[in-house]
Amino acid sequence: MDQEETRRPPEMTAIVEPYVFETLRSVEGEEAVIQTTQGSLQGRIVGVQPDHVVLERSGGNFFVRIQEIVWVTLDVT
Amino acid sequence: MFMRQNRMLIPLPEPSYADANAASAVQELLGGEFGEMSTLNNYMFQSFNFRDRKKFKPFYDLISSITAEEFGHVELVSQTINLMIQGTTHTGNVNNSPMQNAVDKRNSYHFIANAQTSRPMDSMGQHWTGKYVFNSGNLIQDLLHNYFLEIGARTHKMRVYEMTDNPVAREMIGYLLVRGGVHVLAYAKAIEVVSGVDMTKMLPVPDLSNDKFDTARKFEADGVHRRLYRFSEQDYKDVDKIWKGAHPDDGEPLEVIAGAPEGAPLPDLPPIPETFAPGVSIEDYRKILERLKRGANID
Repeated sequence: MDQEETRRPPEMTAIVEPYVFETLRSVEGEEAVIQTTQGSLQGRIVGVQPDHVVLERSGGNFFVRIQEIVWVTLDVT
Repeated sequence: MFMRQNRMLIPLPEPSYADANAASAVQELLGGEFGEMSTLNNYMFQSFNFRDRKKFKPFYDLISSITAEEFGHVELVSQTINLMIQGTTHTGNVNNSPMQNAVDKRNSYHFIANAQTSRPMDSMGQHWTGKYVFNSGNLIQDLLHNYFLEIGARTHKMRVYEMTDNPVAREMIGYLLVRGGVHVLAYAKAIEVVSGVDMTKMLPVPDLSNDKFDTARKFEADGVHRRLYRFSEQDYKDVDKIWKGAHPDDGEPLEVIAGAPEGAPLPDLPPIPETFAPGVSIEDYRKILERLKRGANID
């Protein structure tokens, strides 16, 4: 590795899925089921950020990484 | 005979996430060979079938008192499992497979046979059997068996504790490690009275004190490890001929308590519409209420 390369500051890369983000924003405030790679969570979507969603359940707020979401449904009847 | 109270031994925390696979592991502590159903039924049948109980009353009283406590342990482990499974599936249109997350869980009985609740089975789904009951009728043999059974139960609890950090499971295990320790010591003392052999010198087995377990410590600080409950106000008083002296760990005096621990309210398990349980709609509920009122002549 040459000296030029070691002096370069670290770069941050963020994966944003713009359509997922926009769709999630459109259902903010709704009751939903979020299927993650670790199972499902059911609750109200109370916040949407480019990389995570805030889901409110009786037990409190869950901050779910969008990268770990498989699907979301509003079919909770 | 037994009296029943609508309470469980200790409060359990409300879970914030579903943990069905850990609940399957906890099933071992309910319906496994060394689970609470085994301790309950061993002592229950030994107390029912006890010979010459007038002469050996302290031993009869001990086994009978512990039987009643074991009922509460079965209940506590069951409620732990119920709380841990909660939230695994979600509500939704049946055609959208709202129970799809259950298909890959370790145990299917929880989701197909039951409405996501405990069953009398072990961690591999093998159902509890009466063959786990040992009741030779020989007092020393039965006491020795109980001593071994409690030690086995304790080992299994320690291992399940190490398998999961689920807060509901750990609260229950912390408490039952302390209570199991009381029962091991009680049977060791009974064996000493009847045979002269001091089994307490071997304790604890495995050689790890309850103090190592975060959720057991507060119960020991409260003195739970020194108390033996009679679960009766009037009967089984001769337990104090065996449960007496000082606790080998801290030297504090052992005490026999008339009646039961104060206990805590039971969790109110919510309906799970996707399992059709309880399957009574709010409209049905109103009709039931109406019929009950009419039956009781209440306007």
